[in-house]
Amino acid sequence: MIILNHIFTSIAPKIGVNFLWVLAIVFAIVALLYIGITFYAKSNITLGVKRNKIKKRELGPIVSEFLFFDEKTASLEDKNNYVCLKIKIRQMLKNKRNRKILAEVLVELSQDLSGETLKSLHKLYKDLGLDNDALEKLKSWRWHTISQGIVELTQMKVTDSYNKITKFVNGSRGVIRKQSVIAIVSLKDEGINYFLDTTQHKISEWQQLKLLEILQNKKNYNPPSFKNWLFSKNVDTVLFALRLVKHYDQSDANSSIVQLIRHKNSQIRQVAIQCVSEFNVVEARESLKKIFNTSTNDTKLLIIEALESLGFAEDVQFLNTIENRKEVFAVKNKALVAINSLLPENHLEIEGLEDISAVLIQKEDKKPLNPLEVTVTPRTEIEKDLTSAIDQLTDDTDNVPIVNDIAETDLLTFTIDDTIDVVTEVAPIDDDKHLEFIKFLETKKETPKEAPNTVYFNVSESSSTSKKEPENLINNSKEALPDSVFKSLYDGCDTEAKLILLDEIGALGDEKELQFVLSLLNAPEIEISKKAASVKIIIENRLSVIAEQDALEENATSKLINKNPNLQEELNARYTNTTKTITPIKPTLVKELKPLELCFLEEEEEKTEEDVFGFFDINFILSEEFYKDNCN
Amino acid sequence: MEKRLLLAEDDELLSSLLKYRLTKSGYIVDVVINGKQVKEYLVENTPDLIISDIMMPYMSGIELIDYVRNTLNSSLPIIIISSAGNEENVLNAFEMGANDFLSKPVSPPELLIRVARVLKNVPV
Repeated sequence: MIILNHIFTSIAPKIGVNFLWVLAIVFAIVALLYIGITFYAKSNITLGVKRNKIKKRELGPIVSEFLFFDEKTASLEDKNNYVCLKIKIRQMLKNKRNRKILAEVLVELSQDLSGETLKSLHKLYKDLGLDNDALEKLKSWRWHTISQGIVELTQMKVTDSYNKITKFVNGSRGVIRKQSVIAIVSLKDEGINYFLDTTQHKISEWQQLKLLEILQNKKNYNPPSFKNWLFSKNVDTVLFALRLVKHYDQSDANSSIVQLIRHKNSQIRQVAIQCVSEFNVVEARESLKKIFNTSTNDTKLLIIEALESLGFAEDVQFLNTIENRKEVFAVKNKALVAINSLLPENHLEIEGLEDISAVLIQKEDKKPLNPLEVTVTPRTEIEKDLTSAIDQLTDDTDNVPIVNDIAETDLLTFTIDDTIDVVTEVAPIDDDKHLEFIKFLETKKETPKEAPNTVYFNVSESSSTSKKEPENLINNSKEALPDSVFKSLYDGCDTEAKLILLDEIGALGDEKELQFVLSLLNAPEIEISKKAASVKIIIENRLSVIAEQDALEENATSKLINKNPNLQEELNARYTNTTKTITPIKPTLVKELKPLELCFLEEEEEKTEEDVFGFFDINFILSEEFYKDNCN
Repeated sequence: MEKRLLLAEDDELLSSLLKYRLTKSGYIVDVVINGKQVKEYLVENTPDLIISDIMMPYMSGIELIDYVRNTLNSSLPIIIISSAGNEENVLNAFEMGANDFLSKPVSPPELLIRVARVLKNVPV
């Protein structure tokens, strides 16, 4: 401890107490001086502002007097006042501070005034010689003073200062440079030409927007042909010129723009592509395709967009190559959009779609389509009768051989055209089986081997079936039902879709669907088996209601047969002759069975009974008008 | 009879200039520079027309219209002065019950025409 104390005392400098006192006093004086100067400066500034404000209030009315003085309408007193004010203001302007304040007043007012008053204000500014002060500011070494001078001269529209300001356009100080560009473009129309000709520096986006705004606000402005600057050495000048070309729709620059598509600068490329698209320069398509690989993704998108608007069908091949190439998603997607735009509905994406046609084809591969399996959903009474007639002929589908194998003797003849008409009229058009059937009929029509205008329907392998009573025939057709149309759909579905399908079956299904639903009761999925059970009940309920209605109708028919014994004979005669064309039953009988709609139709068209009641004859065509009027 | 106008404008130079021009055209013009002064003025006086800047300290032009129409329950004609590009405020002003509007920069001859027209349309 003693040693340390000794060390410190030996190292520490020996300062006298008096010296320390002197030092403290000096610091205190400096501090006071600093505080004093700060307060003085602040109060001086505040005072200056107050004085300026007072001076401005004083100058405001004088300026107003000058602005609104009209020598023609002024009275003598007004004229005297005006002269006095002139003298007063000349005296004031001898003071530099007053000149500064007056310039500020005029500049401020110029921002709030327009029209003739503004012009008077500009004139007053020059008359008072305040522009000379602003020009003097341009000679200052301080950048902010120069900037103030430029702003003042621009604001007060001192066009004489144009040449003096131009020397700052390529100056080293950024703020002055930008201010001078705005000034020369504002002051004279040719200012933009001078700027584009001479500028060597970068033109910022803000500057471009500002210059565009100034040009837009110019009255009666006739823009120069900006294509002259499209090949400037300054890339920013090229870009700005391109934007100006686009803004002023100068389509005379098309060939230059097409060349600029190949510019190495991607920004210029992009604006050039936009111009090409906007001016509809079709000849640029090849250039667009050539630069595609060397472009950025943003440019690629613009190229595709341009091709979409300019392109033709032959450009689709190029777009297809893009779609198949290794590109980012946005580019590929854009290419697809363009393809679909050029050739609508031509390029369909199938990856995300379920191929249900494959399911149907698979099914039909196992079992060739038999045209006699066509099921017809009755829509009117006439159709119902017609359908039942067809069903009678096709009751045992399992035993039906393929048409080519049918023996000549077992055939019932129909004309092909009539059959097509019947099927197309009666069957839903979107039913695949019906379409297949119609196709089949068409081929038969064209095949020379077959007898012309003849299609062969197998009534039955055994003649006994053909001799059955109508009731028996109908019953037989119920015993051997074809597969439900829902089955093929059901096979290609997931569980959720299967449940939805079962709902639909419940709403629409008949005997065929009932059989199909019964087969689902033992499905491995519990949900489906439960659903199948509930759907089974729904279908059974509906079928029982239909059966009741059928029974009522049968009773009514039997009563009619009892009344008219000719009917039974007619039906028997018809079904015993297997090669006979189905013939119409007697009008006298059918008259009592005809549907109400037909009665109305008969009344309307005043047809004979033979024409109207021949609905058991297959050789007829149901007109479209009939269905329009009666079946909707 | 001379019409009395209230000019509510916080820019003293502009208000001075407009006052000069309106006075020269035969109107009596009272100038206030903020919303507080407007309220105080309207308690004691009833001008024939109010010309108000839409942006003012303490009370905006919209609030002034609301005050005149709903608080004072007066149909006093009001002309609004708004900056260019302030269309939304102008629409609001019209919805609140402004009679006319003028955009800055102001043309004093245009103001005179609008004042005369609004005063002419006022029901006696």
